[in-house]
Amino acid sequence: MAIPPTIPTSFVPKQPVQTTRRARTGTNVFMLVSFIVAGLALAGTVATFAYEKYLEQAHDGKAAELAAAEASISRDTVEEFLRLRDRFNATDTLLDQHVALSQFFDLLEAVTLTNVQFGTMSLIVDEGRVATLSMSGSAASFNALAAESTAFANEKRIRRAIFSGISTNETGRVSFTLDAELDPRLVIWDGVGTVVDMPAIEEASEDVVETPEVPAVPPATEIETPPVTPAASPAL
Amino acid sequence: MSRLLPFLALLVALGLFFGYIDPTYKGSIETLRTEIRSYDDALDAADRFKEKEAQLTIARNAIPPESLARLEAFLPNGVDNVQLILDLDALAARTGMQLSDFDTAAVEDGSSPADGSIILAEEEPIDSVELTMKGVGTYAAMRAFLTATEESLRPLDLMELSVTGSDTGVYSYDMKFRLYWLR
Repeated sequence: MAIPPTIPTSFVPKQPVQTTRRARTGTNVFMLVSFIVAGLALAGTVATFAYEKYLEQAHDGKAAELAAAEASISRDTVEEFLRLRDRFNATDTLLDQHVALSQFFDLLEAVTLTNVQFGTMSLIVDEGRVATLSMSGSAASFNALAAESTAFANEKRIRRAIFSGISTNETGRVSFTLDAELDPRLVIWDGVGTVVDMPAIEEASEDVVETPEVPAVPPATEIETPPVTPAASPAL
Repeated sequence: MSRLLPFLALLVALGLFFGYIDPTYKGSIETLRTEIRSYDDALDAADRFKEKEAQLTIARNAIPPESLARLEAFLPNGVDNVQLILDLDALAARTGMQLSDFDTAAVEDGSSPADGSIILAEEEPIDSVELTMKGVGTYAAMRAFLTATEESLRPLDLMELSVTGSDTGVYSYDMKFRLYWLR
């Protein structure tokens, strides 16, 4: 049986398959992409080079600006300010710890009875501004010494006041030694007083140094302080 | 030949990237940027310094010169103990005391330097030295002298005082003052 001519003899198309055209298109795309990448790399190279040059210029400009700023800073001025700061800080500390033993002597004059005399004294101030006191003296009687002991005991700024070495001498007076500690409040300057210009003291007039009134010292062997009569002297 | 062109182009691109762009960016450019940042920080600090300096100059100028002079007299730049001894001697004569046997002694502190000076605190650049002397005078004269030294512009801390009596009412004093100066 013969096949009609309208029916194709084969399912294979008579037109040539365009496989080669497809391959050529793929090559072109790859080439295009590669050229774009190469172009971008080239542009990046130029941009990197230009950026580097720009940064070098900026770097040199900043360095020059910094050198100028540094040159405008006076080291002497800086040193002056630093020393002024140190001086202020140190002055503050020194004033806070300034030793003024006049307060102690004011108190000693107040608590010493008329019939008690101190002959020698040693006072040492330590770094913490606690003072160690050691005195020797004599009292007219044991009653007077007991009253003196009470007066010292009542003063809270004199700590650990211990009377020892108590004995009666040839004249009938009672000799003793006193050891005590002074509270820093009694040693550190309380800020009350007139500051005197010490370096100019040589050139200053006589009235520059204002000294307080000091009680007259009687011509006695011992240091005698102004009379204070205790409220009550305990009898022995 | 035309088939090799894309590969050559990619090769050139890779070469440029890994041969120049990347090492340059990570190398000299990064270094430059870091240095520029540090310069910017330094310039900012310089600006702040100038502002602070201007403020401090205004504040210092607000202090009367005589006050600054007194502050320097309070804590001088050197010990200047010779002038101080002269001043103390003059002061003692005015208050009725007689001073003698001046000596500059090392501070009895194990941490003190060999030159006799000590440092009060690490942050405070102060040196100190102890000045010992003997004195003779009445109790009243001693009190007057003591008060004057306590109120002197230059701080004199009396660290040790011993008093011994006599039959005449005139006493002998051993004194140890501590004086300070700014290092």
